[in-house]
Amino acid sequence: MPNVLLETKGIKQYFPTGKKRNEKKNLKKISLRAIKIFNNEYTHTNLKLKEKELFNDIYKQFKEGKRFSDELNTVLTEYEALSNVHGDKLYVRANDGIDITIYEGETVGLVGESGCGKSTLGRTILKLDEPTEGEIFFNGENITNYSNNKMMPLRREMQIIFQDPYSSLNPRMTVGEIIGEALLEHGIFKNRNDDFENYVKEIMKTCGLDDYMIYRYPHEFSGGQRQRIGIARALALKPKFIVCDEAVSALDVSIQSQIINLLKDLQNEFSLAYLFISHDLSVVKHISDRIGVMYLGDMVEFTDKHSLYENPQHPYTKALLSAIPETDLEKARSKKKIILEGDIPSNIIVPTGCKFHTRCPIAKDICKRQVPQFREVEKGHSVACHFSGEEI
Amino acid sequence: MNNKLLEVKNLHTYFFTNKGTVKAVQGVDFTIEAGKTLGIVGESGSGKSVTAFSILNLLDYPGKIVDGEIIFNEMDLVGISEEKMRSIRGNDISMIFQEPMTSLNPVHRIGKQLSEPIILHQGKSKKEAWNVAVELLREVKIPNPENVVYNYPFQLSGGMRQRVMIAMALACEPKLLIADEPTTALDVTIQAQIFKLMNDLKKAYNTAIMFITHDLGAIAELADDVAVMYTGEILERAPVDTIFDRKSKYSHPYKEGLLKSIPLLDEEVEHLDQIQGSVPHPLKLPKGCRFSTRCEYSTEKCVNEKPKLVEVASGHLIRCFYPEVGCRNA
Amino acid sequence: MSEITEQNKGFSKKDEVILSPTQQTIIKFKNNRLAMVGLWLFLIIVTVVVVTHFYTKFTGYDFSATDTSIKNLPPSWEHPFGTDKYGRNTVVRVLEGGWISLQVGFLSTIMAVFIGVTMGSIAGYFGGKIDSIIMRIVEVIYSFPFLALAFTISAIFRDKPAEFRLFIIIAILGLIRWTGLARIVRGQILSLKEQDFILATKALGIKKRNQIMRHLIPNVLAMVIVSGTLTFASAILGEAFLSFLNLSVTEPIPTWGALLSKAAQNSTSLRNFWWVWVFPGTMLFMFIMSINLIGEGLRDAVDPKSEIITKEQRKAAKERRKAQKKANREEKIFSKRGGM
Repeated sequence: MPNVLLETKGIKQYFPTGKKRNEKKNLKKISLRAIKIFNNEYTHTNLKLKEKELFNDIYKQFKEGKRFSDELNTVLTEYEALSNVHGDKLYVRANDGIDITIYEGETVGLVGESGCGKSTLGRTILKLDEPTEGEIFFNGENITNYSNNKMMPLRREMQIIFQDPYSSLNPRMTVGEIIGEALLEHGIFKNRNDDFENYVKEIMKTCGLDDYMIYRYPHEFSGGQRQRIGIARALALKPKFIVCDEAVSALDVSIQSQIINLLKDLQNEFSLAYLFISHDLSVVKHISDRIGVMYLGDMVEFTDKHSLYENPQHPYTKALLSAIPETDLEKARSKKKIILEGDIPSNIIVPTGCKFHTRCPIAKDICKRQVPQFREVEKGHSVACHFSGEEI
Repeated sequence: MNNKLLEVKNLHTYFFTNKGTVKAVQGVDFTIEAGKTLGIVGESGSGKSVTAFSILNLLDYPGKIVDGEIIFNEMDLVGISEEKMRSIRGNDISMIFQEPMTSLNPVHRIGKQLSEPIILHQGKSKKEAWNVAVELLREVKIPNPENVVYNYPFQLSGGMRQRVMIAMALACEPKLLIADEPTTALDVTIQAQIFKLMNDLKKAYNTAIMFITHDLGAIAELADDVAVMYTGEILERAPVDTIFDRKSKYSHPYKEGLLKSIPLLDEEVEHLDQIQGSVPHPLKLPKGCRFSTRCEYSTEKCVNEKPKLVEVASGHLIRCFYPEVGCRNA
Repeated sequence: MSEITEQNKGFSKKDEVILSPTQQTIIKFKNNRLAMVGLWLFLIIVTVVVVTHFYTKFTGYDFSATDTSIKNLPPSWEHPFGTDKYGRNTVVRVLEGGWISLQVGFLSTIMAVFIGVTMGSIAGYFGGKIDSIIMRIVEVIYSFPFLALAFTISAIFRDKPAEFRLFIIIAILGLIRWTGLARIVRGQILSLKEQDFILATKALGIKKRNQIMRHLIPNVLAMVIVSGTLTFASAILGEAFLSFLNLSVTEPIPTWGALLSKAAQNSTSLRNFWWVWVFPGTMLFMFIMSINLIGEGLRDAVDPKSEIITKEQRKAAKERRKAQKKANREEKIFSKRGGM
């Protein structure tokens, strides 16, 4: 068993929105409903009482322990639940308690739709954003509270490749400067001598760039070549761990496969560990050893790639797998399609209980109330679902 | 009477820039029959969007149709007056774009935007058009359309906006719908919804669709016929089953490479097959076969001579000197 | 592999031309005809004004010397711009008048750029409370009544020497004109901060100082230069305006604004002695226009989206279009004949 390179424990990443939860409208709706029921079932003495006063009266009685009819009780409970969260500070819940373990030299894939927090997780692991809660261990060290200075030696070990090959390179620096900047900053080379230049050229060659391009500016390159420059920049420090944040999503199909192959070659050569983030399940499946599926800031399924494809447990994973357009027509036509209803909910006001219940085809009552545990159903196969593995 | 709805013959669209003439579309021909879907697939810079813009006559300066015919409903759209074109656009031919936010007006309510073309083209009253708008939204499976008509575009999610766009395109029951990368900006599960919707609507309205994308998988889901484009030329054209038949006797090396470079879900390979290099610069296109710079089977003939689009089997056209698989000198 | 990428990029090792963004900007600017006209105009005016200034300084030219025998003469070979009502030669006065304008323009612009860039980048980079405090200050200054301020300050320092008053004018203009720049710089830095390459510097462990010096400033600089030129123009105009209201340096030192104000004092001189106001007015107009042309040109040149188009390329394109038109015409004629 290889060594654990990186481990996170309950990473939470909340971004304050600066707003407070406003449920006034909903509360008013519920109160009107309550009055309607009340008027139907009870006769109250003071007819001149205004609606608001009447409701306050009922609610007060309810709070003091008086019980009405079942229907009215449920409405009032609903009112109470909402009024409890009314006025709470709102956060974008990008990550809601994520545990992940990455071993040396392996690739962990993360898939999920936009807004599921996969990119945020990648950035939080690299401490580009401070986590709100939870701990990050790198090589056994707890780096959660490391200052920027203390992180410096670790920056050499962990790197990131970005999605957009256009905004990720400084337009006013030459390729050589972009790749070599960090080398000088970390004191690996003292100045721009021949050794330095040769090293940069070496890195460029490994990434499939011709070394005479060293003095060119990024705008002279195509998207695929720019992405190679981004990879070379990350690779220059000889890291052990690279986060590939949608590294191939913005590229054309024929370029995409070039970059995927390059990443695989580099992994073999330098025994790198990747956290490969993408929304494209077939790409993730090709490159990863183990895959995590994320939904609205939660990890819903985590397992090795074979069992994810052959034996998906979570209904969301199943839907995701079936939604991928296949180029193999026979398979595409025989495949059972699960088309999810509705949209991805907002990750500010998240659904109660299991976050997926609003779109889940097999959701039951318990899903609305109770958050499912992220538990191991088989060895190395964890799922967060009350009815994991059930047929859809 | 043939049922050809749209026939594009030998279309050439050039952009006359100060740096030189960019030949964005060069000799493209295809036909779309009523109720059928033509998928046009290609990488960025292959001229697929320019083809669509040429059909709708939406080219901006310095772009211009230099040669060719676009016959829609037995009428040549090339050189037609702007006024006539306007009555066709949105009425007989509609278009859906990749980014629905940019094609919806952010300051008008959804209902107003939907009802406007109905009032304009069908001469209905405001109230009638408004009701039609609600019905259209119901048609594209938007939950409680009575409320959504009062929303502004920014209040809707990406998938919902794309549905609104489709509703808008369907407002006048067009004969041809041009969809330019309609699902590229959407998530997979939402994309699946939109595909299902488009397939259903196609059957219901008998609308022909010209579906433009870079995603081969999406083409496989929707199209009846496929045209593979590369640097302004069609390299291969065939029914969808032939295009995606991996054991087909004839095939273009470019399409072959594309198919191989997409990882399959149920296959285990250490290395993906890849196409070398990248798309040539539009001002510096190779002299011979456009794909010769990246083709692994490229010969001297390919570099110097230009192949023609040849029908190798019934309905299967390939622009290559060596269309037969296995008969190439690798 | 290398050979293929070579072909695909569309250039080979031999004809490779590496252009830095700065070089590109220069080429684009050079190929902008209007901007080059502006630049030459600007350079000529500056040279003439500077030469005149030092000439008068070293020869001890007396600006207060009057000669009633030659007052109010129209332009002639002896006095190319005519003379004023005290019999002073307007040429020297107009050219010398530019000296004050230039001084005010340069110094107050430098001041405004310095304050604006510092404040803007602090606001943009640190964000949060610092940002809102600085932006409130900017708004306060933005809404300051410039004229009232100038009146008051000039009244306070009425009996101070001319040099001191000049310094005051520069300070007022500099302290008021930095707000627009601060806003632009802040906006630029905010959008740059969202770019991935800034995040990449953090991931690479680049120190904050270098992050600002190497990545932020060079990318902001282009915009600063552009709006700096426009600030320069508006500062000169502001000075002329103040002189016109007699709030700047006083007689006998001439400035363009003061010369205009002299002419406008009564309608006789406006109507009959046109040369008194036409020449300083023209100079002021040409100078401001040249700066604005340069600013516009720089703005286009700095824009990375605009392509480099050299003169040769423009010519070639023109010829191509001509040929196209000719071909079209011939085709039409041909088809007409065919139709007949």
